[in-house]
Formats: sequence, structure tokens, C-alpha cells
Amino acid sequence: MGENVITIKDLKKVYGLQNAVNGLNLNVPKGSVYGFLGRNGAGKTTTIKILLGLLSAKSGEVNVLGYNPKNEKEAVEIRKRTGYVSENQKMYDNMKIKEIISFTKSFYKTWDDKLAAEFLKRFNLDEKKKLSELSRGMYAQVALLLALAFKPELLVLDEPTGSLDAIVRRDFLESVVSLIQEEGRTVFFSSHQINEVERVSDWVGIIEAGKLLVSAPIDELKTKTKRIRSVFKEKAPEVNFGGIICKKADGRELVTIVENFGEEILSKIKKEKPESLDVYDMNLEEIFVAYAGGRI
Amino acid sequence: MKGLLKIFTKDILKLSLWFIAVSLMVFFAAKNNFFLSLGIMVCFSLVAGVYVFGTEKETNSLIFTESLPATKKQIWLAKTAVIITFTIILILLLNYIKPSYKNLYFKMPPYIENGVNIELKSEIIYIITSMLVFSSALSYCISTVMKRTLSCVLMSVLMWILAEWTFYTMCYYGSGVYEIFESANDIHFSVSLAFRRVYDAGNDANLLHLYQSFAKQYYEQMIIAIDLAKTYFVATMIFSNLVLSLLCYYLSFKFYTERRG
Repeated sequence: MGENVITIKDLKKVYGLQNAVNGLNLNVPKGSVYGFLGRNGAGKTTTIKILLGLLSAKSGEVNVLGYNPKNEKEAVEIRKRTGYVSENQKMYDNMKIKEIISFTKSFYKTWDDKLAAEFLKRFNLDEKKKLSELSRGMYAQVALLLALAFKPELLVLDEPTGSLDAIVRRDFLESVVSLIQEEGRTVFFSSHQINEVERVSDWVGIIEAGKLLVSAPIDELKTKTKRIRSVFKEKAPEVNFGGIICKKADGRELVTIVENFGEEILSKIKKEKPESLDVYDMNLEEIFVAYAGGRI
Repeated sequence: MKGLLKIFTKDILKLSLWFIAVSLMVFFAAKNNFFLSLGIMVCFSLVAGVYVFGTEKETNSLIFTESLPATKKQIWLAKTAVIITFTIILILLLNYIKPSYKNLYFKMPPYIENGVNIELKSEIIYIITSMLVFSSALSYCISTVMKRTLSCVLMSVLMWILAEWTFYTMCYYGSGVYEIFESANDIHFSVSLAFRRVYDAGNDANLLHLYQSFAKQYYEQMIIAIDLAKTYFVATMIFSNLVLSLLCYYLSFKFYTERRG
């Protein structure tokens, strides 16, 4: 996993007076399923649109599959190699499934008819049906089919399951992961549904207010992020050292959530001489709340 | 391109609503019914302008279209090619049904013959209608780049004002042409009458000759004046429509291709 499919350095994007993306740095390794987590309005969609050349950045460097999306011709090269499904994607509802397939196919030299037929069968889609007649789940499946049938090197999904119910959402993501990973391609998908990111991703990045707070393999993140509960004889002391994500003191009790957990951090808390000290594992949701919300 | 043609089939059908609106406007305004034409234009501007022209927005298929591996310029040109093709078909169709126009809009009295095109006004209406269709087709291009409904409304209103302005310019110059026709007829009539009287009197060959040459001279001048008015009128209309249309097209093209957030 040495090679990065996406590289972003100090990316900035401003809407009016509001910083949508504020100095974002991000690397997405080749072959990974990268979950891009963030609250609503954190800058996920803006970042994705910049990656595909649909928006221009104020400053910063972006490289996707070796191309710079700032240059329109290179952005076209990126889109030739990247499947994209946006949040609540709308297509041409007056078309039938077979028509939208034929339409989209005309843009891609690498389009695979057999693969498209396989998806139709797998998703149980009737190609004679109009898009306007499909349920949300089926509509999303058509969007996925269109994004995958030309065998993209990179699949970018922006909140792809936002409007789907739990069962369809699960099916959708499982389809994505099984299909894309068969050939070692990369998936970059944004979501605020933490459980689905945890289930399918192997890398995770958390963005808040346009800045990347953390980016790491999901197992490593879970291993290195811990909740430490310490109880003191008297009032809990003020602790302040590098590695604390957030903390909460309540009487004699102090709870800290730390990153890069190890002996060094433990020794810093032990210096305060707590009566008892317990270390807890955290799930991704708890880690996300700590990073993005600053809460225990 | 083949694929892009498919997208616009539906919109092209809706665009025909705009064409019908323009035709109706010309028809009713020609009957001097200003308020009726105004009402129809407002209604159709809302329907055609806001609904039809504003369909491709970021809230619907615009993101999908723009995420395809084509530059904005290519998407824009494909749309334009389709719309211009459609406009040409409409103009050809209009040309085919043209003979019925002169009876439908204006009944020009055949006061003046010999060298003056009495079908001038029906020709003019044909040209103006064609140009309006062209302008409205271009307004489609403009509106597709608009992100918000309000912008679409404003653009539709702007295009409507342009259409109305064009029409009233036509009426203004049209009435001028008509007056020339009338005065030419009056002069012709007076000269003919005088000529007749003198001829009937038959008592002064010199005076007869004088009247004859005077009538001929006046008549020739009127023909020149009418030809000039016709040329000026048609040229003004074509030029103003073309300039405004191309300006709108250029501005919207720049806006679309350079708008990237």
C-alpha cells in the first residue's frame, strides 16, 4: 500500500466568507476502502467535487490517479477512470434503464457490456423500466451499475446510502465492497453513517470544519485510541499533554480520550498519582464523537 | 454526442411550447391585442422558462452530466448543436407553412404593384418569428447553467423583455413601413387623379407631359423609399436579434465554462 491514489496538500475552498475546506491534507492508499467521515457540513462533498474537477479550490495541491483536477483536460482523464455516485444522485428520469446504460456507455472506452449485464441480473433490475418508476434502492443500484461497469480504477461515493433504508443500505455497501475489492481497486466514500464505515472500510479519515483530524487504518485507529478513566484521592488535576483528544473532569474522576496510546501517555497520567486507572477500548462511533464533537 | 442527443429529447419537446408561445404572441400582437399577448407571454415564460429551461440544475441531473468524462465546453456545444438543429427544423417547418402567414397576420391591400413586394409584412413576420425562436433557443442555453430557480425566473423575464422589445421594435418600424405604403398610395392616387383629369381635359399637351413626368418621378421615389425602409427594417431586426442573441450566448457560455464553484 505504498502508492497513493489520492493526494491532497493544504487544500482550501471558500464559499463567500465561509471556509468549506480549510487546509486539508489527505492521502488515500491504492487498493483501500477509505471511509471519509464527517458531520454534515464538514466539507466532505466539497472535497469530493474538487477531486473530480467539478469545483475549483482556492489553493492547495490535489492529485488523483496522477492527474491534477484543476486542469480541465486532466479532470476529464480523472473522470474517465473514476466511478462517481453522488448523494441522492439524480439522472435523466425520462430514460429507461437500458437507455441510460447506452447513454453512459458512449462516454467510456472501457465499458464492459458483460459486467453491466451481470449487475442487472445481480440487482434484479428490469432494463425496460424507466428510472422514474424505480424505488430509491433500485435507483441507487442503477447509479452504482453506471459507476462500475466501465471498470474504474477509483470509485468515489458521496453519502451513497443517505436515502436508503437499513436493509437496502447494507446490500448496497456489500455489493460495492465485494465487487470493487475483487480486482484490487480503490473506494473512497464519504458518510456520516459510522457503523457502515466501520463495517466496510479498512482506512478511515475524520474531517471536521474543513480539516482532517485523523487518517489511519481502522484497526490501527482503534488500537491507538483509548479512553482512560482515572480516580484521584482529591479533586482531579488539570492534565494537559500532547495526545489528548478530549477530557472531562468530574470531582475525583478524570476521563481522557487519547490518541497514539502507549506507555509514554500512561506514564504522564500516572505522574498525577491516581488511586485507580483503567484503560478502555473504543468503537469507531466513540472515536468519531471524540474527534469531531470533542465529547467523551 | 449520440448520448447527449438522447438527453435533450424531452427538453426539445418542451421547447416546442416556447415556440408555440412565440407564434401566439406574434399572432395576437398582430391583432393589436397587447394584453392578451402579454398574458400569454408571461404564462409561457413561467412554464417554458422556469420549468423547461431550469430543469438541469445541481439539485437534479446537472451533477450527473458534469461528472461524465466530458469538458463543460463539450457538453455546452452538444446542447447548442441539438438546439440549433431543432431551431433549423422549426424554421424550415415555418417556411413550409409560410403561404398561410400573409392571410393569418396581415392582409396587405394591393395598393401598389409593379416592383413593390406586397408580401413584405408576412415576410417580416416570418423573419422575426424565426429570430425569436432562435433567441429563445439560446435562452435555453443560458438557463441551463443557472443553479437556482430565482436565477431562471430572472433570466426568463430578461428573455421575455428581449422578445417584447424585439416585437415592439418590429411594430414601430412596421408602422413606419405601413405609413410609407399609405402615403405612397395617397400620392399615387392623387397624381393619378390629376393625371386623369388633365388627360380627360386633353387641352394641354405640355401640362399632360408635366404631370406624367411628375407622377413617374414621384412613383419611382416612393419605390426607392419603400425598398430602403424594407431593407433598413429587416436589416435592423436581424442585426439586433443576432447581436443580442450572440451576446447572451457568449456571456452564458463564459459563465458556464468558467463557473466551477
